Amino acid sequence: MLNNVQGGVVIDAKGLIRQHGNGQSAVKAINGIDLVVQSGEMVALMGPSGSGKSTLMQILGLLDRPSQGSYHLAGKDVSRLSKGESAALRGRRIGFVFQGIHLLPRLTAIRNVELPMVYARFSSAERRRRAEDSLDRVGLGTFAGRRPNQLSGGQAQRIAIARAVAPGPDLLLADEPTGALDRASGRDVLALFQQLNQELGLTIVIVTHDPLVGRHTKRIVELEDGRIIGDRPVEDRILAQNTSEVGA
Amino acid sequence: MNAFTIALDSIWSHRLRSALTALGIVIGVFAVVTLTSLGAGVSSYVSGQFKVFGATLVTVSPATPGQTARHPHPGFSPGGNVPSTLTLGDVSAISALHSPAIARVAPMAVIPAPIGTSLGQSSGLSVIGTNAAYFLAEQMKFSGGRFNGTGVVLGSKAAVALFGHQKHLEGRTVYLGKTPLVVSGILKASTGITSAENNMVFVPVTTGLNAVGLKNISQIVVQATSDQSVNQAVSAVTGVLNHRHPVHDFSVTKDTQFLTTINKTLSTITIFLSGLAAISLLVGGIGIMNIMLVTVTERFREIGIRKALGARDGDILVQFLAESVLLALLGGAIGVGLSAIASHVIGKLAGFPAGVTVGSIVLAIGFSVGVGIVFGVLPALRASRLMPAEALRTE
Repeated sequence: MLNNVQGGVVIDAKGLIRQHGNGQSAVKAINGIDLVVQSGEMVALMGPSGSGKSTLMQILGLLDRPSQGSYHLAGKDVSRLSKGESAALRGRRIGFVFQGIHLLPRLTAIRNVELPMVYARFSSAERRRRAEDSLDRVGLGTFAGRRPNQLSGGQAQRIAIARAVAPGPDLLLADEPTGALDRASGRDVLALFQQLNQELGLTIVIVTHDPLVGRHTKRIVELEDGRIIGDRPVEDRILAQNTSEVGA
Repeated sequence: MNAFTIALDSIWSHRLRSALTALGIVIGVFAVVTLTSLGAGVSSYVSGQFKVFGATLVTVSPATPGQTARHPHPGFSPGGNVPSTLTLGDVSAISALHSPAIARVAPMAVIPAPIGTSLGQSSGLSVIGTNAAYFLAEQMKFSGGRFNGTGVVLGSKAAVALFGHQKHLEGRTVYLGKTPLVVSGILKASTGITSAENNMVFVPVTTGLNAVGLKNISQIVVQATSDQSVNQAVSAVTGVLNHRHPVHDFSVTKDTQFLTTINKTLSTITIFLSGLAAISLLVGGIGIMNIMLVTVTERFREIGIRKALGARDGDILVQFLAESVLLALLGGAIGVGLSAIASHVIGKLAGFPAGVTVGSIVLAIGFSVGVGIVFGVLPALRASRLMPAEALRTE
């Protein structure tokens, strides 16, 4: 159903530098990052604010370009793509989940889920089928016609996850996905990530400053001052239990 | 889910703001379309009036010597500023030609004398001295009696002014100054550009001239035998008058020249007024640009989300451009609608046919789309060039 790359390297970044400004006032948000993420991994990018983790996520998500260094996404060199090319690739290959509720308020849940596939030029039948499947997968198939203001924070975030996975991306990027949620909803979201990672083999990278969130993943990469200072597997992994009906 | 449904949705979700924004375009399009429709209406009405006459009339008017050929407004000042040297002798000389191109010759003299009944004078009436040929040339219709060469013919309003709503006025007496004259005919009410006749009193030309002690007449009206013989009539009349007036103090104009002059003037006025109206369209366009810039700023986050989800710059550009064009089109459509109502009402009141033409609708739609594109491009470009990372940072 969701067509993921099975096996192989999803993220292969070497010597990534992102510099803001020039000369004396230049600030390096990230300064020489090497990172390899295999297909099927679930990784937490952790660090205090200002450590460069959000900048790294934006580069990995093709929302920003590195000043220096190379980045291969699923085997393709994407560090020097044009704006149009990266937009096209972003729509098909990468799913985003953000901290705030980033649904478009005027669109129903299913329309929101269809949106990336509109820009990726999927046929409308294909769009509808994938959106329905995806909503079922996050357990909100019956909420298709609701607008964001008729959803709880946790439900809205699950709709956003359904939107991120519907086109069948190689990589799911989540920026503080539980940051705006209460504990129970946050647990549901993490359980959903673990389920997507487990059942579909979806590669997931979560940016967070919360160690508890980190412990739900399989690997923690720590950043400070724009560099990686730690990279270790998670020994004491927490397997989240759903408190609501999730999954098909 | 295409750009236009997104645009419609966005316009609908800010109904009041959209309505106020579109109002500028509504007023602009309304003004432009109404003015052009009225201009076209007046113009076709005037042409229609001239068709009733046929184009066979030629008017001889006094003119300043030397300016004969280039008189700026031929015939617009009959007996006006230029002192006339035309006489009844000129009329006779033209008649005496017996030219096959000339059907009728009639003198026309404005008689500056009061007209009234035994009960007193009436104001607001003009007295014209002429002969029987004049009534035929100008195609005047009698409701009763006729012009018999000695009696007086009253225009329909002149009859009311002199005698109230009494009937059977033939045989009644009117006074031109102190000279008593017998009413011999009443004209039917006339409409349109000849409606001035209604306020006129027609007297035999010699009687009129004698009453005020004048020798000169105001105009000579010559009717050609057909449309084709007009030019021949003009040269015959000019030839005879050149002999009699070596200083060239007259001008000969065809009625069709009046039409050309009137239409030129009308279209100049219409273009000028439409130009003024187009300024309001410009102001409306700036209003759209202003609101679209606000909209783009407000929707940084939406733009960021769409871009993160794979929207290309072009997708965002089209989305915002569609919104401004749709807004302008909406305003344009309402403007044309209002204009259709307004020109209909004004036309009814003023008594000429004026409706919104296909041309003016095309003009309005073209204007609206143009304004939407021109003033929408800047905000749309700004939206499309937004970096997604930057746009998402705006909470």
